Amino acid sequence: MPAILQLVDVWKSYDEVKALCGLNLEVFRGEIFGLVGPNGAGKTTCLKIIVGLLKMDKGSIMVNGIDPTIHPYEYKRLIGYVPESVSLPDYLTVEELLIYSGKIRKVPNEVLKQRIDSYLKIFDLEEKRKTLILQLSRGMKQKTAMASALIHDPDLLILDEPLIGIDPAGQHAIKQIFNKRVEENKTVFLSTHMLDTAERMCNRVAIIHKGKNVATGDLRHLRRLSETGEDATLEEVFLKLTEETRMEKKE
Amino acid sequence: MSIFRDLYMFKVKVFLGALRSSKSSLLLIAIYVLGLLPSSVGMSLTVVNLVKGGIDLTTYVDLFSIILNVIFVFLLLFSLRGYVAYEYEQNVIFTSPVDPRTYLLASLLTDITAISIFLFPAYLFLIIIIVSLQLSVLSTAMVVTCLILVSFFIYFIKTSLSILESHLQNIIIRAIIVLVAALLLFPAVEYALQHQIGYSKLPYPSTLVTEIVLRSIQGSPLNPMLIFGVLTYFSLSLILFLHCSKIILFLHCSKIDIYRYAKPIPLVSPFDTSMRTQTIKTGQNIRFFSKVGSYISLNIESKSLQIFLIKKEIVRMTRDGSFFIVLLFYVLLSIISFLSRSSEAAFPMLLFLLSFYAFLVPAMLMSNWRIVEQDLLWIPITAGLDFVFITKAIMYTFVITGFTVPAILILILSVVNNFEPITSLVLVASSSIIGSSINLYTAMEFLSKKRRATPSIMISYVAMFLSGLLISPVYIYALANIFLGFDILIRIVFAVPTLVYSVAIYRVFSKKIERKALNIELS
Repeated sequence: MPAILQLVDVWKSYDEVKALCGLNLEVFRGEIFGLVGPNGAGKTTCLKIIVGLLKMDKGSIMVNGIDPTIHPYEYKRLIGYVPESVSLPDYLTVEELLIYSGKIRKVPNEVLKQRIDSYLKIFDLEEKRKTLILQLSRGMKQKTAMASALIHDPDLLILDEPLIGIDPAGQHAIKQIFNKRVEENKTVFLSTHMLDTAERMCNRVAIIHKGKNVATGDLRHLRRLSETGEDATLEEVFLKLTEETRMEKKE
Repeated sequence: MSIFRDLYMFKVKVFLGALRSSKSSLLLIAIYVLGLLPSSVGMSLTVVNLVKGGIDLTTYVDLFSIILNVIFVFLLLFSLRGYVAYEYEQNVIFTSPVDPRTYLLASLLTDITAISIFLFPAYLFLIIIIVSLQLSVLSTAMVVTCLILVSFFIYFIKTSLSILESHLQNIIIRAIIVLVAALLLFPAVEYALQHQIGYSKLPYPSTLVTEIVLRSIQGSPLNPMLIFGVLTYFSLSLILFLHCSKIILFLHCSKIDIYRYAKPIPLVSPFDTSMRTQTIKTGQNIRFFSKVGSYISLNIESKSLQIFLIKKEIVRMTRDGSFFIVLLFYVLLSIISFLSRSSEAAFPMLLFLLSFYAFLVPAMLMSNWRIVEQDLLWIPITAGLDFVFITKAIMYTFVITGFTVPAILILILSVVNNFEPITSLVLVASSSIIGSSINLYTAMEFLSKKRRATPSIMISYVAMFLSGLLISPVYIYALANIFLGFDILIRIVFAVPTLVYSVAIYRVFSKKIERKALNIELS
């Protein structure tokens, strides 16, 4: 199966602090992939490097075979991104933000109109169409950001802690969208520290710890790898694997 | 008593928090001091000279009453919001078992402390007057007492009306506030239109206070009725305030405390240059200006992406108040320049002054752009949009705004005064072209990780300094035109290289901006 996203030996440090130490990842088409790890493991740094907000010190990234250092604009048009703490232009209305997001991604006007109507309906934002973003609640802002990230129908949707601050109905809508995208052979790549979310939503996960990929695979594979037994939860697997890494480092 | 003291100390520390936390706040204080001290000295010396030359009491009672009443009305209109409390007070004090009366008294004392600290240029103003005019102890005491009494009078009335508004929450109390404001301003409006009534003929609190102060300074005898009047007004305001405190006490005793009525407002410490404070202010601006700015909106139909992005910038500037600030800046500048000109011959200088400050406009616009847009850059960066579209949209919008607003004003003034405006228009055009590119370049330079924490105001100073340097050849062109009196043909001939120079600077910095844009990192 061809990988939609491929990270090979990615390194990144902030001054003296190493955030990523030779991270390798492979994410395939038509899956929901979770990046899990403790605080400071390098999840957000990894996501920001993929979407082009940070530059890596060393390594390579490809999305659908496109190298961002050669074709940065084509590369980015394949991606939709929602950051963890969403800042949106407070001075625009919900509809205006979606128009802006679509325009800068060169979505044709007719398609853009249809998608705006469709996503406003899906995210239950129709009544807020003409409302300034400033006046929205945190959850509504998150849903608006999600609609904005989907407006150009990206092949790869990247989300940093996507369910935080969203009400149960919103979470349900988001899960349905993820499933629909998988049916359309698109990919969802999310980072989360909520292990139950990752367990329920993702086909495969990668556990990263101290900037390295400790293990990748579905839950069954990870259970085998960590020798935690057939009924072990992702939390138990996670604790075992990260603990082992810690012990290895100490030795 | 110890709760009262602790509460007071806590509130003062929070209020002055910005001064303790940031060096740039100290820089702002230095600018405040350096900016106001010369004005205080200048104004006090003007008053001293006026008094020594003999003043017309009626005119100056009218003049000072207008100033006092405008301040009073400005503060009074805040009562329409009802009783307000800072968010931190709601979170920290209102959730603890503090008696509302203790809180109110601590607030009163904090406000007095804060006002006393920040009014220090006024002390210098008073000291110079007292020393220069060799006022007696009695006259000095009279002046100082009157000023203190009128300050308390305004404070008591404002606080009482706020409490009443929160307590009663009906239209009558709001109507009373508006009516009082209208009554206070009526003589000023009438004075400006017909010049018949004026404050000096009416027994307003401001009239009595200014007359006592001016007579004390002048050394004229005081009518005891004036003192009686001031004391009466003060006593009435105090009674009203105490009555409103009783309302609070009653509410507290009946288990319905004032805290329930206090509307939360964010705390903005004086001289606070932090991004948090700027964001709060921007949020307030957007709430206010979006009502006006909603007439201009983004729509899907734009065919050109560049025009769409320019329109988006215009929408932002309308809704975050940037455009209003530019308008206000030029209106105030025009009024000041117009009032301060001595003769028709000074008109070219007036236009020069008006266009001289044009280089400040891109700095003002860029400062707002940084506050509003810095955290939003992730949207275009992750969208796969060539960042040059964004930088061009910003620069074009800034050039258009920086040129159009003053140009319209200059053209109007030129037509009214029958004067040729070429020099000023060239100066305004060059200032906006050079200023916009340099300000954007500086903003991009400070987007780098190590410099991102630099306060917006510091970045504006750097950009203004650079702009001033590079615009200086254009100033030389303008001054040469004024003082050497070139005819229109030579002015036009010299205008061409001046504009070419500005465009060249613009292009050089545009290239630098494009290179910078490729390497933006947002952590």
